[in-house]
Amino acid sequence: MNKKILIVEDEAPILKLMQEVLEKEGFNIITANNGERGFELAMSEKPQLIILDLMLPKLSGREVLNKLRKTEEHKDTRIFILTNISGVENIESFVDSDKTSYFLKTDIKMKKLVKNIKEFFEDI
Amino acid sequence: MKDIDKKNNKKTLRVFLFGTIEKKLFFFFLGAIFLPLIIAGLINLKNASDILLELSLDRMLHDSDFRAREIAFNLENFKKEVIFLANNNIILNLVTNDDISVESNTETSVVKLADVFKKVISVNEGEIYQIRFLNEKGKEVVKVVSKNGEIQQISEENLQIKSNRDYFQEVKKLKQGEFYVSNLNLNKEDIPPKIEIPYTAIIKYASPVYDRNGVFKGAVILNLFSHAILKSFSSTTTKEHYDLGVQYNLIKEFLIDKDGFYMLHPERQKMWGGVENLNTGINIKSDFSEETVQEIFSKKFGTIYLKDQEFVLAYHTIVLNPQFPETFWVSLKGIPESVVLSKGVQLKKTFIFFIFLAIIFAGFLIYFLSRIIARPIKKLREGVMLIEQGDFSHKVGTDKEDEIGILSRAFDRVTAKLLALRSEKLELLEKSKIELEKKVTEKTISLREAQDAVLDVLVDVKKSKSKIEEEKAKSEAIFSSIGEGLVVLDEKGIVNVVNQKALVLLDFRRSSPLGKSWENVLVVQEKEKIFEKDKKTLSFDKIFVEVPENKILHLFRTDKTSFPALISASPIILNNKHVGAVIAFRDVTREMEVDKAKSEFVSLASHQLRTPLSSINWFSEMLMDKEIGELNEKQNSYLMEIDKSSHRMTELVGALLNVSRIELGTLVINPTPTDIRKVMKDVLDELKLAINQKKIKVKIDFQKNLSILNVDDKIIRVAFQNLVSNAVKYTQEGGQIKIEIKEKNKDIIISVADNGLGIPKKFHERIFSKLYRADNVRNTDTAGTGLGLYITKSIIEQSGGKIWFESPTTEIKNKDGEMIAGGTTFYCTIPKTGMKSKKGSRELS
Repeated sequence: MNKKILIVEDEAPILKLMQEVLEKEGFNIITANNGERGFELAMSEKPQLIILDLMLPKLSGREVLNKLRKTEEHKDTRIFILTNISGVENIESFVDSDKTSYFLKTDIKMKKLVKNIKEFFEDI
Repeated sequence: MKDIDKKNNKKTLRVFLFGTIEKKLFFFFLGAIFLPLIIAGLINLKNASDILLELSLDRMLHDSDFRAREIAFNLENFKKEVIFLANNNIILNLVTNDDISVESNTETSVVKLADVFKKVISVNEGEIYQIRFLNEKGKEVVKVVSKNGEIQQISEENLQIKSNRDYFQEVKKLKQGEFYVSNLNLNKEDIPPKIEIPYTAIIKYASPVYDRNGVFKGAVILNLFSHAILKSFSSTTTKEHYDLGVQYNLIKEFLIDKDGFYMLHPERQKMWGGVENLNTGINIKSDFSEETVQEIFSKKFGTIYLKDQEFVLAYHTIVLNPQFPETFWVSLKGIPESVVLSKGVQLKKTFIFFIFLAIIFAGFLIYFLSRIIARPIKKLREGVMLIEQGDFSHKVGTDKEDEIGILSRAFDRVTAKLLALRSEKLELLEKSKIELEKKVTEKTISLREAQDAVLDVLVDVKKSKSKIEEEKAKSEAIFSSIGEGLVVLDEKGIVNVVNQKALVLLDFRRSSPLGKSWENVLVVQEKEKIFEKDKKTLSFDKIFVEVPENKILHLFRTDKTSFPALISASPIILNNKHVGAVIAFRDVTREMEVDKAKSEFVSLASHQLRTPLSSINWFSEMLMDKEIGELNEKQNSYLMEIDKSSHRMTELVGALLNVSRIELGTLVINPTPTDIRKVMKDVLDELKLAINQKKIKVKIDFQKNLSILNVDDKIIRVAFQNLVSNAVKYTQEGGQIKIEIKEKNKDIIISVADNGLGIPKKFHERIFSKLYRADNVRNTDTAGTGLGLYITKSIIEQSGGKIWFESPTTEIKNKDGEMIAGGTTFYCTIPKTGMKSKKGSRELS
């Protein structure tokens, strides 16, 4: 089973680090450095998990999320919001479901993140 | 007082005038006799004046008729004269000659004719100016003129041709024996025309001459001095008196021709058009109005009363020759109204004089009559007055057998009885009089008291009335000037009152919301969606019961656009009954914009500050993981420092963001039912590592059955974290922390006690200040942000609670000689009612 993960992140070092670590874990990683590209890849590559930053060029993470949820392909896809924005207004409205999780980059350790991803794929 | 005086004066006057029967009788008779007399007299007087006026008008009409006839008569004479001249044998002989140029015959005939003319002029001396015979071509054949009393024939060389003259043209049309009378003529001759004799107008008579064969042979022209006709006028000037007693010279006589020019006028300079020009000169229109003139010319005769000129006019038309009805004159007679009425005035004077005389005579008569009637009554009265004064022995009785006599004797009997009763009652009377006076005095006093009380009440009422009015004006002013839209509903939800601001906000410019149901006025939705009528967030019941507070809803204007609004509604309750509701709302568009800008700033700041930190965190994590290679010990210890600093930095950023949210007012409070004991336990779990590291004993004392509070658990967690982590941080190894949560009255009280460093007294006041750390902790620990207590205090106070601390003031020195205090206890309260929801844009990190 091909474990395909899409990472949408504009901060190059972080993107690079995450890609390295996760590929080492055996995941198939595709990356996008802006929201628009992220949405396109999500539609064409159909990843099982999407790691999405909120503050993104071209299309914000929130807009990408809203757009994805409206599509047949991704209305139920698991999405990890991984961002440095905290306490966003009605953040619960899109993280409360078990389809969407929210992590603050500064507070989560890489190990923990990897652990969460692994758990997700074990559950499928 | 003045009114009373006046009344009294009137009364005295009345008593003086009608006080006695005698006087009453006098005035009664006088009135009975004279009132009808005067009224009848006045009516008669009025009638007499009218009759008088009519009479004099008739008289004047008659006079003017008479004058007209007189003139007609005079004219008739000259008419006969001219017809005779045109038809005598001499002239017939002259014209019948077949050849008029036969010298001998003609000459003698001409001389003879001239003689006849001269004779006629001399007979009517001063009346005829000239006589001419014109042949059929209009040439003068014979012309005799009277000049300066001399009668002369004009020599042949001075004779002229007059064929173009009116009179000649007119006379040509006439049959034998007929005649022509000219209109007025100023007798202008020569070029430029010159009036031959001023004020002496000429009237021309003409009659055609036919020969024995009936062939027109010319005409005889007779020029008449106008005064010849008016001679009768001059004979009757001044001295004579009118038979009604009016002076004749006050009567004005006029004679006008058909064009209205005066042939006769009291003012000589107005005659003959003012002797200037008979086209434009002075005529009747300069003296009388257009209407009057029209009436005169349209009727044959009549009278006119010129009210504005106070003048009476009588007129009669004189037709000079029935053959030429267009040539006529009018005889006018005028008289000032006052002259006509003067007789009436005389009459009135006489009448008043007689009335006066009658009053004096009758007055005397009535006076004596009433005295005779009233005398016995007067006597009786005098008697009664004596008795009244106390002389009961007086007898008023007379032996007369009339009604008054009987009355007077009856009176005497009454007096006798009265005398008997009087002595008996007098004593009793005196007694009751004293009692009465006493009672009156009492009543007066109590009455005055009651009056004073009523006055007091009135003053009070007036005062409170003006107070109410003042209050009303005040609340009206507040109502209209208040910055929020206000709508007042009645119990059925009908809009009763609206303030100006509400009208502006809801865009009621063309129609009025008054009397409409509230649903049509306040269209409310939760989202700024397209206007949909059936989706209403508020229901009428909710308005009376509750309206979501601090929740931004969207209100729709009349044009179906919307604006974000904060709405609050409260029921109006009167005698435990809902009688209506007040709804206040405010446009928060601006506030929302500001909020948005603020939150954008905060989220940008948090992102920008954290992004490098997360890189550092993750990369140092990777390094420490040793998966990419072993580090030596020193490298490892440096890396640990980097990681530690980076995490402190992360903590600081989090705290700073919280501070900015609190200060920008963008903090969201989202209360949910929460067991705060669980929150506290979670916090302790998180800090378990640090607690264990320092071997700190934690004692907890949570009340059982603690109320579940409606608070935002995330916010409360931050507050608890700060309090507990402070306690851990500032307690020495092996120290002790005691945490209590208990209910107390309306609050829940939380206390966190440690036995650590304590807070020196001089810092007590500033301990909750931002970025402030007490010296003693700064010395021992440098990791604090200086923001924790500030944030905690803000959170607790925004929850409606209080925060304070106790730190014993006794200074205790530790074994190294450093000054320490005896621990610190922080207390905070949260009201059981929980936190109030607050819409903002950020939650605490």
